[in-house]
Amino acid sequence: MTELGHDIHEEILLRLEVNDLIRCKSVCKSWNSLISNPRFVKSQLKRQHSNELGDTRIIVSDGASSMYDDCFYLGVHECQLLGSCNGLVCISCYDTNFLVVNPSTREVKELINHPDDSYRVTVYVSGFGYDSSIDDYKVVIGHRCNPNDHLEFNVLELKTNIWRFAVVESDYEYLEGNGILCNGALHWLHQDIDNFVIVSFDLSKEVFKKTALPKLDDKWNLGTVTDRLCVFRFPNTDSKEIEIWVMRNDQVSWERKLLPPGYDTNKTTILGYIPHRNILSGNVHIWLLEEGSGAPVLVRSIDHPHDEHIRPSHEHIRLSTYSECNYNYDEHVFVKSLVSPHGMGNENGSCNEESEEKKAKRDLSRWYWEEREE
Amino acid sequence: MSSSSSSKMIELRSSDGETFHVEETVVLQSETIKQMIDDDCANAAIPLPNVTSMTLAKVIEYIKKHAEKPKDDDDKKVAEEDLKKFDAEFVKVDQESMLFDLVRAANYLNIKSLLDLTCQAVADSIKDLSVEEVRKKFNIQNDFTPEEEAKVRKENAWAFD
Repeated sequence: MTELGHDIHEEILLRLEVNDLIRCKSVCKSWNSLISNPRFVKSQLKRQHSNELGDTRIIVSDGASSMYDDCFYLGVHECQLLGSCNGLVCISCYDTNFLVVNPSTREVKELINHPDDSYRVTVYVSGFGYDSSIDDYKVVIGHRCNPNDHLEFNVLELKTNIWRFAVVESDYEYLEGNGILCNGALHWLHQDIDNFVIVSFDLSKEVFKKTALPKLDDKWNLGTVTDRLCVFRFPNTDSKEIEIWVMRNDQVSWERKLLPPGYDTNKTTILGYIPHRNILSGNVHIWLLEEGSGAPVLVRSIDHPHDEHIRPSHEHIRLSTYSECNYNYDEHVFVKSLVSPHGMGNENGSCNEESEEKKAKRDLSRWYWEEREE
Repeated sequence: MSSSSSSKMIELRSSDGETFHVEETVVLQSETIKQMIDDDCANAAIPLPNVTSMTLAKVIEYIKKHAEKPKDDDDKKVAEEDLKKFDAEFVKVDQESMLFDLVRAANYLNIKSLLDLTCQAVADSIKDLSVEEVRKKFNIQNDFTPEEEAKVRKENAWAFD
């Protein structure tokens, strides 16, 4: 058989899933270095983001068992997902510290201790995202040293793995929880005197900003739809429609959408909804979490109510092995990628030394991945 | 459907000397040929020394189908479905070498959608193959030393389950 050129090999490999790519590293030296090349890793990620049938999943932490095949456990206890970005997941653990993992390549990076040792009880605000201006990932933690203090924000860049002070924020007293990542900023819903606003933290500039919302009561949640921020209402059994307000591209005004009912409320206890982005078609996919299973289920897309050709992929990391199964699910949109939590060499090929270092780190890693039984 | 406005015909010549006449509007899907036409190099038959007549016939079948324009929006949905079916059938070739030939031709002629389609078909076909089978399929020599290969495999052992 006649051979295909190297550039065509790359075109083909870009269309493989991460699992297959990792196996294909063993085919030959040139494939191994191609698949490890940061430029390839970025192209693969770009495809994941733009591909309608890409490996976009919802990643969920919970204490319940899973009935799905594509599932593995990271052996850590009592954890919380802080966020997911480009295939990396940031996890806060009770018995260790922060971890950044790539569940697709099973690489784990342990982050350096937060400067405030008592942070575990005082973390109020957190987030994880990508700063394109420095091509690095940032973990953002807001905490109070004393209950009456203002929120102090510290930032850790993955490459340096050092916590540094970023800003003290006094305007947003009630800020809490995980920030929703959208367009390079983390976002929270915040009650401002008598109305709700969106407070965002720009990951590059590291400054806070306030954006007005449509007039809302307090039963709203923040999400993203096709790279745009949205707020949506938890439906109750009486209300059959899901109301979503999506931010327009002007970053100021909002557009209202109603989602037709498509779920059986008798069968399912609804714990949370995530409008799931789907860039190419612009459809909005809503996932719901079933009580007990922790697995997201695709409910419906707005534009094609009967079109469920996007397979609901169920990959979830089980993070808590303790019996306290709290129903406070952390769910994040997740794509499979080759992005390494240990950082990458530059695109001109100096990644060889980097990867040696990376391997050493991986060997040292005491984290283990546990295959699901059965 | 769209032949009412008579389009200029372009002549293509395959590596084995066969000539094909294709409407210019159809052939413009190839960035390579479009460039030749823009540079005024397409007055005589365009030689395609890397593409056999068998492959070229398939490529022309593909670009002709993809050049069809639906009349209205109702038609558009039907046409999209139809095109999806066509694409799925198109890559079901008897011989694997044909698929590789199509990938190569799509790459050489720079027809993005065809390259996408055929590369995806190749990718799908290697999904469940062993490393040895992948090497065989792509005619790749294993250039790892046994130690190196064992090391790479060990690092990624979980992906081989």
